[in-house]
Amino acid sequence: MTKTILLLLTLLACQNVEFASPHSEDEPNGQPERTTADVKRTSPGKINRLLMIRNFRALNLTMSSLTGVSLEKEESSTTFGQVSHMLASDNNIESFSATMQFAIFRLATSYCQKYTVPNVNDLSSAEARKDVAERLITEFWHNDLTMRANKDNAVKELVALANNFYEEQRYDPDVERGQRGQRAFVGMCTAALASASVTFH
Amino acid sequence: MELMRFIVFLKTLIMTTTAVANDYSNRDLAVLIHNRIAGVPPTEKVLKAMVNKLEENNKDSEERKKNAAEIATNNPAFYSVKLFNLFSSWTNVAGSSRSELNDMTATLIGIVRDNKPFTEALTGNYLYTGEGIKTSYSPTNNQHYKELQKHDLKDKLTQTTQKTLHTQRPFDDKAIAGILSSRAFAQSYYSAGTNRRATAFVLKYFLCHDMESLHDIKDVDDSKVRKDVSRSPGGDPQLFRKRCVGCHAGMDALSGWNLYHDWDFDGNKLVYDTAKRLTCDKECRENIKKKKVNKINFNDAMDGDVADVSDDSFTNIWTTGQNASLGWDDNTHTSGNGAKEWGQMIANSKAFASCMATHAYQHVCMVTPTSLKEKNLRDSLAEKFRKPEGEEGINYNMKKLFAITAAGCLPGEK
Repeated sequence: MTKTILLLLTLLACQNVEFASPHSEDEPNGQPERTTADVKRTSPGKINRLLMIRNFRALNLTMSSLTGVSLEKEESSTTFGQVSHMLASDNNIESFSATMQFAIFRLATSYCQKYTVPNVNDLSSAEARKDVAERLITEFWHNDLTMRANKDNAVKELVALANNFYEEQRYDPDVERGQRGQRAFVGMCTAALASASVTFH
Repeated sequence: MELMRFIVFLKTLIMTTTAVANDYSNRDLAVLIHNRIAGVPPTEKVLKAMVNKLEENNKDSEERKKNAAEIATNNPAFYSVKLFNLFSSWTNVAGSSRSELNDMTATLIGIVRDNKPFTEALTGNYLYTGEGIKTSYSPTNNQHYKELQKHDLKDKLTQTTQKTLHTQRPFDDKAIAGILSSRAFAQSYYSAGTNRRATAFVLKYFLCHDMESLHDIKDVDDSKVRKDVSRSPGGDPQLFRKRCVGCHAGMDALSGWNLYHDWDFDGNKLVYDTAKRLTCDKECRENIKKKKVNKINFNDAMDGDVADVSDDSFTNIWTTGQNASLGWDDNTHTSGNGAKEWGQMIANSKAFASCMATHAYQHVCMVTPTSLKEKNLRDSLAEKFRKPEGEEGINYNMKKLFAITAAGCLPGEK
């Protein structure tokens, strides 16, 4: 798990993202902090978006509003109580850590276990998985200004993930046939809900 | 295998997040504004309403953005996420935004929701409580607010006069001053010590100046420096003149306003005691009994040479010198008695408006204004914040300040 998180952080760090630094002081060389406009001017072709992470309160409310699961639901409120101290206090992306990603996954899982969409129990067909993947991406990411051009790729990845989730349960003696669809759905939902498109803005 | 898939999927997500177009459509701008103001994404219905505002032809660009931003301030998350984060960090010495809801945070949020001038945060004769909460308000614990924070603050907050809440602790009118006479403020800033912390806190969060930044030793009048400050620390009078006096001259002259406010450790509540039977911890209380002085006059490095603080008067000596740049209002007193007059003096300064604009900028634009361009924008926001509505201002309306700030610092659009 730790390796996974480290790898994720490495991937994140490798991207050409302009991070904003809220509450930061002047840079050591005396140059003032760059504004959005400055970033655009000085680095044409680069990403000009200032990326922020949602803090603990915002993330909880965001997941609640996207899934329609009430903040009062026992599972999600208990999980939030357990992990909120691991989530970000402010919006500064530079404070993002492996622990936060772990907490985000746990919180997303608690919401996804209570999130229901029609006809998800049967994910045995490729069409059903694609349909659910499209629905999840559309519902959770519809506001993200980056996703519209990349929706197909994201859906494809989510379907591939669902295939693995679903197929590998065949060999798990503890999972009954009827549970496979629901468990695969929770996995897909968690992956989409805990993604950068939701946790960052 | 499953794990690798998961990683590949996340990598795709991260890459897609970074692949951003250089310009923003009105829909993108609406999403951005909503996220920045409320901290959560908009619903499709709200998004459409905001886009409609952004596309209105008969208004200028700034007006359109401001109108769209005002829609975002209607989201309950603006109160329970954005404002809660901002104000809760003011209610504790550590500056943590994770503290639970209390009367101070609730009151600050309520003032914003009800479009009251934010100056009333330091002068108003009211606090906010919750409507229909199982446990009613108590001056001796925070249970009421603990339960209230699980509800929609936008919907549940209700205004109550402090006189009503202070029945167990009769206050003079001059001592009731918004959050300065709230329980949470007392617990954090009147407990033990010399109550100077309360002054330093207000300067830090309401004028955006730490005490160190106000340090001034040039031609200062040190007659108000209290008796607990040695005039020759370590036997060196120069040290007092060159260092101690720089903060203490101004701060001690200002700090008398809260002489009678105190935190009662035993009763777990704010007390206001003009008879100076002020409370502190056990050891302190025993010493006070012996010496018959309150906590502010207890430490007596200069016993006999410097007079006690004898009433709740204050004098602002920063109206001249470098700290005149805080912009004290010519029409507001610069000396007086009690928390209310002191709060008025602070709230009417230009630094107060500038500080609120800085907070709004940090929490909406997500950066601290440091470049010339950003500072100019912050200053123009502060100017609008101060002006009355008839003069194209917003009369200290914090909700409108958030909206015009969001409109002012958006990235380029299509």
